[in-house]
Amino acid sequence: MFEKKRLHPIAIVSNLIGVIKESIFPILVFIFLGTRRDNFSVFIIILAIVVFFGTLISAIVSWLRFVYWIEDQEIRVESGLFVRKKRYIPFDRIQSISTSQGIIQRLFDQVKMTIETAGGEQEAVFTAISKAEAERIQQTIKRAKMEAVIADEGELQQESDGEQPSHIPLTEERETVFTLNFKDVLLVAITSGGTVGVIAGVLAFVSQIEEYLPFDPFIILRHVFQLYQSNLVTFLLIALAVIIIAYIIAIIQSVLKYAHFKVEKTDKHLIISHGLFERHSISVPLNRVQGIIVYEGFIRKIFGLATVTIISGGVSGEDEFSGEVVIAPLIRRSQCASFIEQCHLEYTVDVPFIPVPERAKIRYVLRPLYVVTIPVLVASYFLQPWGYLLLLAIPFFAFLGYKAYRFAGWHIEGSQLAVRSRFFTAKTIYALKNRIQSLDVSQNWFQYRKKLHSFYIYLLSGRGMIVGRTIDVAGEDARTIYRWLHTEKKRDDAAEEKVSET
Amino acid sequence: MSTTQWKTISKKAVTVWRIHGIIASLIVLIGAVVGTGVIIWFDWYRWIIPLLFVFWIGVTVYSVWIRPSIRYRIWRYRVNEHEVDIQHGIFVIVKTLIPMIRVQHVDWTQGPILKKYGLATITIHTAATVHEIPALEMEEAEELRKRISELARVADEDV
Repeated sequence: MFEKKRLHPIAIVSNLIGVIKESIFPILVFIFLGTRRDNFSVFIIILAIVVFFGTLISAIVSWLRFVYWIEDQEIRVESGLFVRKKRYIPFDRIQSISTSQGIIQRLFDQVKMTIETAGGEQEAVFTAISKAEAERIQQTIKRAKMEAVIADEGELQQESDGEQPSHIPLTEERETVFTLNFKDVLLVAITSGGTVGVIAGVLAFVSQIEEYLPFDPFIILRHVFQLYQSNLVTFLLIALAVIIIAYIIAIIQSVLKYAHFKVEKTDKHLIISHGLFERHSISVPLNRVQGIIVYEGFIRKIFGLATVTIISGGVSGEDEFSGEVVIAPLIRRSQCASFIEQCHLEYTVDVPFIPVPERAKIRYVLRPLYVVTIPVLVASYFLQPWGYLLLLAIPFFAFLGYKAYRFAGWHIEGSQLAVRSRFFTAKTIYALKNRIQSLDVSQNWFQYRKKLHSFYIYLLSGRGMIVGRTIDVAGEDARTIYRWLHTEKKRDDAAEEKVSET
Repeated sequence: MSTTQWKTISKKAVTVWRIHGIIASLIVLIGAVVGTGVIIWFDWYRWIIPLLFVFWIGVTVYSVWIRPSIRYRIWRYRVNEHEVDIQHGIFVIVKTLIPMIRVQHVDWTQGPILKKYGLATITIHTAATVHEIPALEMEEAEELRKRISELARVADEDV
């Protein structure tokens, strides 16, 4: 019944080709070196032969070691050459099975089958199995899932939700819940930190194509430095001009991106579309939302403005977007709560946050200084005499640290955990208990002396993850949060018992 | 249910980590020797050479003597029906909680060094994170893998 099976031997060839593909560059370098010096080439050839046979043998042994079978509602894989590995994947954790055919597989009428679980990770890859076998495995899993559904009708709904393709039926009614007018779009552009991005982008680009440039960027840098020393006014004017140009580019970029921004809501999806020339449209199933994030940028926070994003977990089929999706590029902070409610997202935005304790203040104020002090001192030394102005950066960063201290906090209400932190940008993450993948509570030696902890929550976002954290919470607070996630099932069990009694 | 107690990993973990430390130390040593050669060959600053070896000694002392025993002392885990708790760290002690319903699957792995000492490692995957319980006795590891898989399947829910 549970016969352990191997892949088709052609998998060896397929794996070998994979290895060769990956190492083609070093191989070429070796051949190139080998042909240049005669006495060297014999050694190279012997080495090449040894490496080749080594790889071949390891490919064969890997193939021998790779066995899979189906047992007890799981697909089980054992593999490994030096490191032995057992991976048993329960059927109900499997999110998709896909098959593909490369040239080699096609020649031998085999397929490559990939099994994915939530989070879109490739959990098991079967390099070469027969079509019939792939079909058989898919059928077995499908049937087992169906049976599970029939056994528990309550799960039927969930199951069909999970497998529903992410495109939206046209018949479904759409309701617009959010738009940006042109004035707002401009405001988004003006208050965005895109300027820094543009300058960094240009610098990165220049460093990439440095060798193709008709001039040496370092010479320009030296000229700039000389200018700074000889003619400060001109230097400042040029600097100002560069910043203004970058600012204008950033504004244009963000206008193009956020023009005609619109969020629509259907029964089960949020549809976000935006863009002036290039229209982008994303639909996110509500049941895949893992949490929401409210960002308040440095400038925007002063005006009580915020940006709201949703975190979408898992990837299905075509939509390859990363996990975070902006649903409001610019919104009054005070309107976030009603907006989120309108979107049918079950989060309570306005909650009384529990701050970090007073004894954490000094740690918050000093933390940014550990990083900036030395660079600032060095820069102010080299850029004399005006460089001393840079020293003002130190109190400024301390001030940012103080602001971070004032903002940091957490709050638990029912099954929702909210955590917030800031540096330049204030960031508040809201997550429901059943979406938190794992929780870390950590303490280093300095925190130990002050009875402080940091905690981190991990959320699924696209194929990756998003971490929410609050640093330096009081010990008892850390315990509260830990216990809150701990006691989840116990309460549910109690509720279930009540139901079964009645 | 608080009946489950914190468990430590196998004492042999210290030995295994010492071996890892020795390997790391050897790699750094090779680096230092090559570095010395390069410095002499190209006639760079000679004072870098003793620094390389001080660095090597530092790495060796830390990764062979200090790190394994501290790490072992801090490592513990606890598994019950609803969650897996893990505590680990060296300078920063981290306590991790993984709700059982979030567990996707569990791997059992054994490298050559672990095999020599009859140990194996358990890796717990959630949709977003990966957690490890290293260096358990082989049977214990297998049992734990089975147990967590079973509990994870009982505590099933949408992701």
